[in-house]
This record gives sequence, C-alpha cells and structure tokens, in this order.
Amino acid sequence: MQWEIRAFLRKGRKYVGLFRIHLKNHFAYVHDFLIRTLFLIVVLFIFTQLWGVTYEVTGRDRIAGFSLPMMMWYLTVTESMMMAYPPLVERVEQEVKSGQVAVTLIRPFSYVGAHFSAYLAEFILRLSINLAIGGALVFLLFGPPEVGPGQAGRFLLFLPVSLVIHFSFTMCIALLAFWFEEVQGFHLIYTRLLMTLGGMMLPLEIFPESVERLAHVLPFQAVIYLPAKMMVTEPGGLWWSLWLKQIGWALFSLALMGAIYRRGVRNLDLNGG
Amino acid sequence: MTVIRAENLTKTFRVKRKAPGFWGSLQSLAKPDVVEKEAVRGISFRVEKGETVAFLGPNGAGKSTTIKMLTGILHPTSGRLEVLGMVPQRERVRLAFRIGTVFGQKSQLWYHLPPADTFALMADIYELPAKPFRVRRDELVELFGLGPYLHTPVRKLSLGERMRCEMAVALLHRPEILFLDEPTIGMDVVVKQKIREMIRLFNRKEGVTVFLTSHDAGDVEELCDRAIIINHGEVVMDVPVHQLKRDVLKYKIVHLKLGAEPDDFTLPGTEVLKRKGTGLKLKVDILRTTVEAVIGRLLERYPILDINVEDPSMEDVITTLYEAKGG
Repeated sequence: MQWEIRAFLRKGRKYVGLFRIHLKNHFAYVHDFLIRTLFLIVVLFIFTQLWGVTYEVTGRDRIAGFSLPMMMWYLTVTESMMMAYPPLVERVEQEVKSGQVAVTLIRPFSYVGAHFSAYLAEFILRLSINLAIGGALVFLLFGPPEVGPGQAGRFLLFLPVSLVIHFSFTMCIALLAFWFEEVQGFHLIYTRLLMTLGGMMLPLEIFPESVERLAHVLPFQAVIYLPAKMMVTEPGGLWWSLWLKQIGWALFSLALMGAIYRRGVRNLDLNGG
Repeated sequence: MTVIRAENLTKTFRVKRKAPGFWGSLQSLAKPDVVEKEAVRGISFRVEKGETVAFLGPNGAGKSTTIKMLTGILHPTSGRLEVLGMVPQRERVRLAFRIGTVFGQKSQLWYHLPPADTFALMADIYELPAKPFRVRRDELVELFGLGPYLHTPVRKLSLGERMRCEMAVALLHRPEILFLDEPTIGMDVVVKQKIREMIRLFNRKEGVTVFLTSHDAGDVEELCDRAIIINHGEVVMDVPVHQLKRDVLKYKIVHLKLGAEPDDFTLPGTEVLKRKGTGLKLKVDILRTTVEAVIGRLLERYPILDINVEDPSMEDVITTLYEAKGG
C-alpha cells in the first residue's frame, strides 16, 4: 500500500513538473495575455451598453431573475472563461503536421495527461488576468458582485469539473487531427454551441422554454453556464444534484476522449524526418 | 544480448491524392482517391547491446518511420518488433524509461527557459530521485561543458550549445539505447566533433547502444561499427562500417579556389570533376592517396585561396551501391 502511494506520487510529480514549467514559460507571454484582455474590456463594455439599454427599455429590474449588475458579472465570468481556454486544437493539429508529436509521445507520460498539465497552467494564468481586469471594469461600473462565501465555494467546485469537460471535448476534436488534415471546422461548431447553448452570451433562462430545456440536457451548459451561474446566483438546495450531473458529463467526456485517443494513436501517420 | 529485433517489419500509410484545381478538390471531396504507400517493406535486422549502428538511406527511404516504430510512436502495419524485450507500440511508456532520443530537427528544450529547467523537468518525467538526479546532471554539465550557459534561456544559445544540451538531456535518465535522428544536422565541424566524442564516450563508458540516422558520412565513419542501408523501405545492405568505407565511402570531394588558373595536370588517385576559371572540383580516392597529399602537390604549383572537403552524399552512396550490385 505504502509502495503504491509512493509510485502514485512519483507519477503525479511529472504532471506537477509539467504544470510548473508551462506556468513559468507562459510568464514570457504575459504581455500577450494582457493585450488579449484589452479585447475582453471592449466586449464587456459593449455588453454593458447593450444590456443597459435593454433593462431601460423593458423598464424591469430583473430579466429572467438577473439584475443588470448580476447579468454583467455573469458575462464577466463567462467571457473570462471563454477567452482563457488555450488553443488546444491548433496546438495538437500543428504538432501532428510538424511531427513534433513524436517528441511528446516518446516520453514516459500520458500524452493527454501532459497536455492537460499544460492546459491547466495556461488556463489558470489567463483566467486570473481576465477576471482581474474584466472584473475591475464591471466593479467600476456596477460595484462589487453580490457573492457570498457559499457562491464562491460552489463556483470553485463547478469550475474544475467544467474545465475537465471542456478539455476532454476539445481534446476529442484535437485528436481528430490523427485522422484528418484539418480539424478547425469541428472546433468552430463546438465553440459556437458553447456560445449559444452553453450560455456564454446569454444565461439559459433568457431562451424560450423549449430551447432552455434542450440546453439543460446537453453538455455545453456544464462547461460555462453552470460555473458562472453558481457564482452570481443562489441556486437553492439542489445545487449538488447539478454538480453530480456535471461530474457525469465529465466522466462521459473523459471516456470518449480515452476511446478516441486509443484509436487515434494507432492510426497516427507521421511521414518524414 | 539482442536489444533490437525487427522481423518483416512493414508500415503502410494511406495517402490521399488530389487532382490540381477546383474541380480536383470537388472530385476529391465526393470520391477521395486514397492510395497506400509502403514506407517500410518487410525489413529485418537485429542490434546487439553496445553496438553503434548507422541506419542510412536517402530522403524518403523509411529511416525516420523505422525509428518511430522502434520507439513506439508509430504502430507497424505488420511484422514483429521487440526493443529491450518489449513490444514498443504496446509498452511505449515503459520503454520510454529505458531509451533516449535526439531528433536533430525537433527540440526537446524549452525555448524561453534555461536548460536547467528542462533538466529539472526531465528528472520529474523520468521519476529520478533528487540526489541521483543532481549527481547525474552535474556529471553531464561538466562533460558537455554546459556550465556557462546552464541558466541562460535556450533562445539565446547557439545551435551548437543547444545541441549539446539536447544530448545531455537525452542521457539524463541513463538510457540503454540512444536513438539519434540526424544529431549533427546544420552544425559546424567543431561542434559536430564534440557531439561525436560525447556519443562515443557514453557508448564506451556506459555501454549505451547507439542507433543513428544521418546524412553525414562523417557521423557514420567516426561513430559507427555497423551500417544498415535502406532504400525504398527495404534493407539494401547490412555491413561493418570498415567494409562500407572500403567499398563505398572511399573518396572525398575537394572544392578548391586557386590563386591562378590551373594547367592540365594529373595526380595519382585524383579525378578532375569540374574546372571553371580558378575553381576546381576533385574526386580523391582515399584508398590510393590522401587529401593532404593532393593539396600538398597542388600547393607546390598554385596558391590555394579556399578549400572545402566533402564526404560523398548518401544519394551517391546508394547509387554506388546499386552500380556495384548491377542494379
């Protein structure tokens, strides 16, 4: 038992090492991240204007249960998350095209696990910057979010699970590069689904009831909508059942990714030096 | 002890063909024309522990594909393969602990970080305990002379310095087999020499088996005992390097820029391939004479402004082999 724990820790150390070195490496690109954040500020500013007018025209304090500040904090979280996702599909596709995948596959670690360590490091860094800068803008315009310790805690429970789901689905698409020369098209469809049925641009409650029901049975809401919703609203006593459902989607996406990887790696074609 | 055993190894890729132009794209979309390309066709060979083997062939011969199968990256289409008693495509991770690789055209160093960080990461990846890692790292830093730039970001290192780091990183976990794919590509003579010395040293000191592909005949001559030559995915020749030198690598190409236009001259073992103004291209048969002797004789008659000595290219080696076999 003790030996097994030690072996597990030794194996875990390599992914921690990868996480650390990626984090360190990304500090070389912090200025690039900051420039990207300028775009986030522009997007959030446009949203504040759009929703400001919407609330004014409708003359309502709340739309689908969201006040204007709540809506803006919701969008800050969703936009910050969306803009923090590293370009995994491009990377894997490029790795396969250039043959660099050989350097990764030759190491004694899981190909997918190594990518996850890299992904996590970049996501954490980008999300921190996005939330800090985007949050500062919304704070200046609407004041602090009404977030109690319960909401913050639930956000921290839902966020990592949502990241696992998003990483796994994105990796599934990226791994198609082991078969197809071009996989950006698949990724484009996936990200558009996240933007709409995933609740990135609008909370699902705003959709017509039938669309909302459909969105709730699909996995996209578990990626962006759920963590953002947990952050800005009080979901009541049923939050844990949503969390279990989210974990279910995580397990499904992991299994799908594992199956695609096992088939893909057998199919890998790397011509030339 | 046999460390690599390949029997009737084949690898077939499916390649999509497309006619040029828009119509070709549409046709390809509706009815893709997929052809099978045999990159490796039933090759068999064995490598014993401690051997230094050159795996040679022209571009597209199947060298890199074979190395990728030996290291578990590519799955063979058919045939049997065993490396250190393991089946690479099934036991890739377990095998990775016992082999080292250097791909001359693909770096394993972190571009923005110093080599010291890559060393530390590799210690984690290869699960090396802290103390043995430090001892090994210090040993490699000293042997490869990495001390002065161990903490300099890789992007600021010269190609030669980078390549020494690549070699040291590949040796950190004490691999039993070192796969080197064009390890000296693009390097100057001095750096090439240093890299070759290090490979030789670890082969002798630690009994590391070396499996090398290179287009540089110098790598083969100076490093390897045995050469396996493949072309069009098949083994053309499997011979000791001294035999290859005797039969094929028996000449050097010498480019000269003289101070005056040369007259007609003949030198033993030397053939004039090209003459243009003061430029001269000679083929020197090193079994009959030496490059030094030829240059010495020419210096007696003309001032020499520039000299460049080349080994025969791998394409020439293959052509010579086919000619010798009447192919």
